[in-house]
Amino acid sequence: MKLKEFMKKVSHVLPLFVTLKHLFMKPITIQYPDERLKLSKGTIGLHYLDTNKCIGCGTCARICPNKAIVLEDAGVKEIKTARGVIRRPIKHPSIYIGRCMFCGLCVESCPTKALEFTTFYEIASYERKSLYFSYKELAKRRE
Amino acid sequence: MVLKYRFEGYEIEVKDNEILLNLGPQHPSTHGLCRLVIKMEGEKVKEIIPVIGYLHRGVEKICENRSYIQIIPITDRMDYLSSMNNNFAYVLAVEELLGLKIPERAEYLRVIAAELNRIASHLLFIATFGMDIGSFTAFMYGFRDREMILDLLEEMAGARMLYNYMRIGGVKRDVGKEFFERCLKVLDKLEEKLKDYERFFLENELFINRTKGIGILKPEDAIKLGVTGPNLRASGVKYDIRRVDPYSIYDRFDFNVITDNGCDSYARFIVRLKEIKESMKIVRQAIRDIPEGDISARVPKVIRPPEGEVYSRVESPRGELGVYIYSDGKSDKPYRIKFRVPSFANLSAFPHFNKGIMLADLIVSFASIDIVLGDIDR
Ligand code: SF4
Ligand code: SF4
Repeated sequence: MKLKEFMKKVSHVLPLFVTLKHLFMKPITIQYPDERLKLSKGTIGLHYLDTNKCIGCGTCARICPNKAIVLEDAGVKEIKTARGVIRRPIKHPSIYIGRCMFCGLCVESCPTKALEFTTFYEIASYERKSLYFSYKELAKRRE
Repeated sequence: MVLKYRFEGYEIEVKDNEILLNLGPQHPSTHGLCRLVIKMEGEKVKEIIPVIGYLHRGVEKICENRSYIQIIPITDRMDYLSSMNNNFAYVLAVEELLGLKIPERAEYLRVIAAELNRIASHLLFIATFGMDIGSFTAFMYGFRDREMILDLLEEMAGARMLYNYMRIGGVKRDVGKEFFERCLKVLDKLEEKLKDYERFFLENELFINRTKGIGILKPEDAIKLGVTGPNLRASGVKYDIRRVDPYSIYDRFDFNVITDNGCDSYARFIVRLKEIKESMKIVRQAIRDIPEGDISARVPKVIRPPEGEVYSRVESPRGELGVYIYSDGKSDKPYRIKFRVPSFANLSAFPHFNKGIMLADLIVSFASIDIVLGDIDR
């Protein structure tokens, strides 16, 4: 009984031992621009477009819930078909990243797997203009 | 002299010895953007009027203009702390409309994802609750441990908060064996940390004095006011949708429904702390039993459910989350969608059980009902 009462009296000091224990632990925060956290494998970052694979079907633009994707004219391209090589104008997707919510529906719906996600995440910018990624910029590899 | 104030359709009379205090919308302990108009007499709270709508995005209306697949990422953004459970409720509703049967492995993955998300959500509750009662240390601990779970969910779904992981007929991607090993390791680690939490809070006289007897919600009132989730269970009512109306495969797992007869803020805290352990139990069982196989049923590219209506509900970390869908059978977009969100009912009950308490205690009580404003305003 005595012990119990004594414990009750000092019980507000007990949590201090928990915090004291933490004093000797390794810090878990990092200094961001100098150090970076290791991302998981499947992290969703900026899109990557393989212009060789894209057939300009527009499925990605249609499925995007925010209508962030527009199809842009990409000149004339040679396409191999069963009846030889034909030349026809083609369109590629460009993305208003500012409107994108990284849901991943475009990547999943692409029939030729031309769109992929990279793990590049530092897309923030000072002006809205630079949030528009044309298909040429999307075709650059970023890690 | 009696002053009359009019705002947002309310009229409130303030006598000479009373004051009208405006708490929020931008206040760190309102968890988002909630405004509470409080009529006080001295330090005593006499009347509370919650004013909501600061985070309104019109989710239900947006959903009427989106196809069934496109709605999934939008449900993420309602209760942003438990996106997996929102996804879950929605896909269950659509699957019921379509009469789909989904593969076993997908069911297990869904349960693992939803329970991990519940753990993360409750850890965040511990963090913010600690912060609101003035313990910044708890805030740090809660966020640190939530980070481990978020890393797991990131590997599963690719994102840290807004997962968009579940699909109509299955899930987005599969995970490998290493994931489960890592998951078990994290759970073991978390178990250690939970002991720290118990030592830190439950043996702490200061914490107990601050929370015991604050904001008493009687079981009869709780049921009448439509309170659900941990708040209801903390009033001693054994009601958990995972048990009373099992959805998905919850009837296969062995777990307890945690209740507490305290009815106060302390009880609400304890119920959540214990629920983390129950969720860990479910995840462990699911990892043990998960079969190999497909992760998605065969679903047509364009989903056009037959005409009809459906209501499905799940136990989200905050309570009963229901989704009502009406499909007119012609288009690939729902005709009407309605979400029954737990936070809304919990906040509506809040003014009723907090009359007569001190202003400083009001913050504790408010933190203990764990609402998310994105959920309420939608
Ligand atoms: S990226 Fe894929 S979905 Fe989009 S236009 Fe090209 S091929 Fe079609
Ligand atoms: S990730 Fe989603 S929001 Fe972003 S471009 Fe693709 S479909 Fe649109």
